[in-house]
Amino acid sequence: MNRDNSHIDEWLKQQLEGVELTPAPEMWEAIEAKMDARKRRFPLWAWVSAASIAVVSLGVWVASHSVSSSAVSESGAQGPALVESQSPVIAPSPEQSVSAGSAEHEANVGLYRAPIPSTFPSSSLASTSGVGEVYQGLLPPVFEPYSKALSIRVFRLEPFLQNQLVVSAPRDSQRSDKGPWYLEVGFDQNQTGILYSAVPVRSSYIHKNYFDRVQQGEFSLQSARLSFSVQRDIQEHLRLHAGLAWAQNRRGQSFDFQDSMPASSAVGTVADAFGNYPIFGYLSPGPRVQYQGQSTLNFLSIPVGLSFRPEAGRHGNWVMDAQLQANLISGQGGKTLNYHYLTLEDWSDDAFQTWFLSARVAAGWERELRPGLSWSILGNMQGAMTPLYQAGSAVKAHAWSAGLSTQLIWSLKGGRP
Amino acid sequence: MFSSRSLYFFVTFTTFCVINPKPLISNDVLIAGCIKGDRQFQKALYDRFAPKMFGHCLRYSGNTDDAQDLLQDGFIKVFDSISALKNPQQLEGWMTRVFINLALSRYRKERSGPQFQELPESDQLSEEETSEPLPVLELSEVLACLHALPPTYATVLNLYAIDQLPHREIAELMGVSEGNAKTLLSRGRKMLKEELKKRKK
Repeated sequence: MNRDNSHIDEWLKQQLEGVELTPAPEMWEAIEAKMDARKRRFPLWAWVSAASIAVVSLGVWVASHSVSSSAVSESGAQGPALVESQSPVIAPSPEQSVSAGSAEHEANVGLYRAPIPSTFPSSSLASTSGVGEVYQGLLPPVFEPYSKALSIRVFRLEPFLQNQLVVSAPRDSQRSDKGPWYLEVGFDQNQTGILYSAVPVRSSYIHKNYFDRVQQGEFSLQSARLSFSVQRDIQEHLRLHAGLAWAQNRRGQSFDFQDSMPASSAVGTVADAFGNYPIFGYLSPGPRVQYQGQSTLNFLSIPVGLSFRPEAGRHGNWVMDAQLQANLISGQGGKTLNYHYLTLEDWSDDAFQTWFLSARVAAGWERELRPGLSWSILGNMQGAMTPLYQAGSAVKAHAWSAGLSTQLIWSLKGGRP
Repeated sequence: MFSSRSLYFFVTFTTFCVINPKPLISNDVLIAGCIKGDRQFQKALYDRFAPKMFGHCLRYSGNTDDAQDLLQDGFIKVFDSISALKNPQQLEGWMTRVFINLALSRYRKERSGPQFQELPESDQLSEEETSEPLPVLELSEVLACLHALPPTYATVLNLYAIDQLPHREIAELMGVSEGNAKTLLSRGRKMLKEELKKRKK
């Protein structure tokens, strides 16, 4: 049998080894034309450069926010010092009139980064009881930690795997110059990370006992996401993708607290987008807030992105992906905490930007397990590019999350997706 | 006016040019020119290797159109990645490998699942025929016989019998187990023999 095998192998080798055939003369022109056409396209290095600039810009933007926030933190760490105000006259807003007693006394004990004018017209404030007690340190111990240094976490590392199942259906373009189309359906967890943070320059609009939480991220949203996308190879290793994704976050809410009431002033200062004026002092504790319920947030997203997928060995490739996503957010049934008064309010879509932009960058490695089935692991970082709250609000979404995701990619037609 | 040494070099050079009207550019020079993206050097590389590479393309493609496509893309790939070539003496071997890899890459994209279903490794087909003289055919007929086989088998035969790759490497390239690669080869041989018998008749 072996002799027979080598016989046919030898015959085939003799017939075809070293075969030389002169190709048609127009072949070289065709190669030149292809190379010229490729040069005219937006070259690969330009895509890579653009993506790098975007990533670096993103990093610089995040870093600059981190620094400015830290600066506020340091000034906050100096304790309850009086901050001189440039405002010559100040008067209470009609609905927010408070009693302040002695302005100097307040400044030494109770004020927290509130701009108090030297000409504070205490007589114009309405009188209420309990102010002195508050400012003489009778606040519950729970308030004490807020005089210490503030810190901010811009990045939130999510040390868990995001598992994504992707079903990819390549549609062959029948040897056209362009690559094939792909359809992709994916399901993954934790692709939506939202953290709230304070705008440092408007920190005096936020209740002092809430400020740390807002600085560090009031809460984060992590939700399952269902996505659909159409993908197309635009160059050999470059793929454009666009699609639609839907994510929903459901979370239980539980509030049980009692906190001091803020004292706000109006004249000479500017209200934020919700009509709240800077807080210059705090009064006695307000009513106790108790609530238990569930909130639901929906994110409808339109992601558009580019992936660069150079080969890495015979059965694998590197994956670098950058995408921009327009998101429509809506909420149902939940309560939200007013950052100024610490009161509970019904969720209102009006308080938030209807649309906000987010971006995601990911890089990793993909390996073909067997024809039609691939597995990938990607490190990723995503975040909001535009504020979640309305413009002019004292808080905004500072939505960042970093994570590690795995994907199982099944190609309906076989081959590497 | 001219020294005898100058005259000697002039005569030698002129004679050399007459005997070799197209003086051979060394691989080093060709590669350096291609790395710079010089179209003249690229053309020279093409002129030198296109016939051989076209032979490979024809072996791995089912028809001339596909072979021409492969030839074009292969040379573009060669020009793109020639800077990665370490040893200029291995230029031809390296180019052959680039073309084979590209052919297999295309093939992987185009193939559909069933062709790569796992075969039982024990399925080594018995080949009872004794060595009988095989016909001498025209090149076009040999290619026709090879391409009459399902592409998987033709590819494995190409890789093993002509390009002399070991089973392990063929298995990796084809994305199958080594045993499976052997089975594919065995079946391919049998199919080729049957095809040759048909042609004899």
